Amino acid sequence: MLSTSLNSRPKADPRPAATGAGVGRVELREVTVAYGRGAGLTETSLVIRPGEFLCLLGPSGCGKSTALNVIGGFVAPTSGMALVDGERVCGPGPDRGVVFQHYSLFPWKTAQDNVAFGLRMRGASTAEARRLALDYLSSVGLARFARAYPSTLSGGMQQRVAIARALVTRPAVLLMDEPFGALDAQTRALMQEHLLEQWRDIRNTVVFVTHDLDEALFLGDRVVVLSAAPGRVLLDLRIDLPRPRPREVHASEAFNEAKVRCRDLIRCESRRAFERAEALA
Amino acid sequence: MTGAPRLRARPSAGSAEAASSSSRVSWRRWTLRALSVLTLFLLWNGVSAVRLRLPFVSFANLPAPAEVAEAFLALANTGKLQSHIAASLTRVLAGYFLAATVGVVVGVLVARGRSIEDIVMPTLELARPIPAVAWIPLAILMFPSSEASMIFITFTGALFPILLNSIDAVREVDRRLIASARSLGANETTIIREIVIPGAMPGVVTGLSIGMGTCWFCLVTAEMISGQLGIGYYTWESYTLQNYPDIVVGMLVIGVLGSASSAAVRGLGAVVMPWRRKNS
Ligand SMILES: Nc1ncnc2c1ncn2[C@@H]1O[C@H](COP(=O)(O)OP(=O)(O)OP(=O)(O)O)[C@@H](O)[C@H]1O
Ligand SMILES: [Mg+2]
Repeated sequence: MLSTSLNSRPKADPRPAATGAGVGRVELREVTVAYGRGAGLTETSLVIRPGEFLCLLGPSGCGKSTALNVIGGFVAPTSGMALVDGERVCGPGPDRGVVFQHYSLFPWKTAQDNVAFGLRMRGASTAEARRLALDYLSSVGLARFARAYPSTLSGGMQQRVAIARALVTRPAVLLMDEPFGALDAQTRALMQEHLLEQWRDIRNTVVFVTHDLDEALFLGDRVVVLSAAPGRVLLDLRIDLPRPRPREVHASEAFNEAKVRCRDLIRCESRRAFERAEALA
Repeated sequence: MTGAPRLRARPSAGSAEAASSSSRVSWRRWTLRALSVLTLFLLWNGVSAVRLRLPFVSFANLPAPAEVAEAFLALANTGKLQSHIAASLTRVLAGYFLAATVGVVVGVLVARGRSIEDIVMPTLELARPIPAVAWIPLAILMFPSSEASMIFITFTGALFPILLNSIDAVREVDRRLIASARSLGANETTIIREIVIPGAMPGVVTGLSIGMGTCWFCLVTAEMISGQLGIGYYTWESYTLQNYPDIVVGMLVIGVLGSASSAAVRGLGAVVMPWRRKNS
């Protein structure tokens, strides 16, 4: 059952969910996903620690979305398996929230009802879920938009509501596939801060796919770069920048050092992928 | 205009200024629409007044608008118009509601189940190109009352657009929305009720609106069977009696009723889909 304390203290839910209790361990164990002739992933292994913010990078088509979909339970691996807290993933579930790049809000529900949806699915009554949803929206500065339909909101606003919808139930794992990819640079920067602010309270495991190296380094505890197919882990880098991270962290030495390393690797890898594609053509 | 301003919701950007300019635009558009209808009447009046004869078409026997208006008033004054309309409305609505029920339910089932599709679709694909007129003999043979056979014919007219649009609409519900719902813990029943049905609604309403049109489209055909009443029957009878102004009266009444009822369906659609209303 839902705890009503979300109402009074939205930022300190005592439920055993994500918060530091060691849940949200994600493991990919030699996962292969075959799509017809091609492959989405080949024997990829990865362990993500509870509460870790992991950013997944790699050249286009290397299997980032595939990996996310396997963890989310939307795609069944051809061989190998995904595990969340030791249990084999065999379908989507409320322990893993997702935020996609586009169209993830239900257009026929108001912002408030979108956020209330997951609470209702967890057994809250409609009235209670709507109340908790409104509280949550207020706590993240979205109360004004509670009764708006998604089509009347800007892209950034829609994505804020989508994040609220995924986080209001405090899932152990949050999966995000290029969530800010369609936003302009300034909105994107605001959204990154918004996300970190919310994550600071929940501290659940986040798997965040992005193309943007700056974004990955700004957000992540750890950056993993996948190689061009066959998608193995090419680089696994811990980002030890202190949190909360100010915007200025972008100018720091440590940030730049990590950036140069990642960029060279990705560039080299993208070229290899491109040349291989050329050779095949 | 990038960045922070984009975080504002669009409705709050709708100022009084924008509202007045949009009402000016809609006023212009309505004028244009009225002018278009008026022009049609003037042209009609012109060609019938001069009894225009062209090599490929002749307007010599075309009744003038005034004659048509006269015939209309005569019909309305005897009270017959009302009973013709009542008879037709009953048939159209009965056929339509049957078609809407069958079309939407079968459409959802076909879209969600492959074996249902294999059972139902080949027959329906075969039946689809058969025009309403071709059904008349069989309809007379199959149904004991002529009323039932007329309802059947309007039913066949409305069924296919409703069914085919429903199938497409259900199939095209965004899979990411279904995936999102699943990952929020929704079960199959909830997904059908809260995601598939509202997601398919716009396409279903389009089908229902087209179906309403084709239903009226089949009315003359259906009422060829009728013995005495109905606006389609009246049109057909006027033709056999060579009452040309009455034919046009019948045509226009069908046109007006048909487009009014399609508009009613769309209006109802807007009521049940508040999220699709602009500037709500
Ligand atoms: N549904 C599918 N059917 C067939 N092939 C697919 C499908 N989805 C992905 N693939 C293939 O699997 C590979 C990995 O795709 P994936 O979408 O995971 O890459 P990605 O890293 O997310 O790329 P991007 O950065 O462009 O989003 C690609 O080669 C792609 O063509
Ligand atoms: Mg992708």
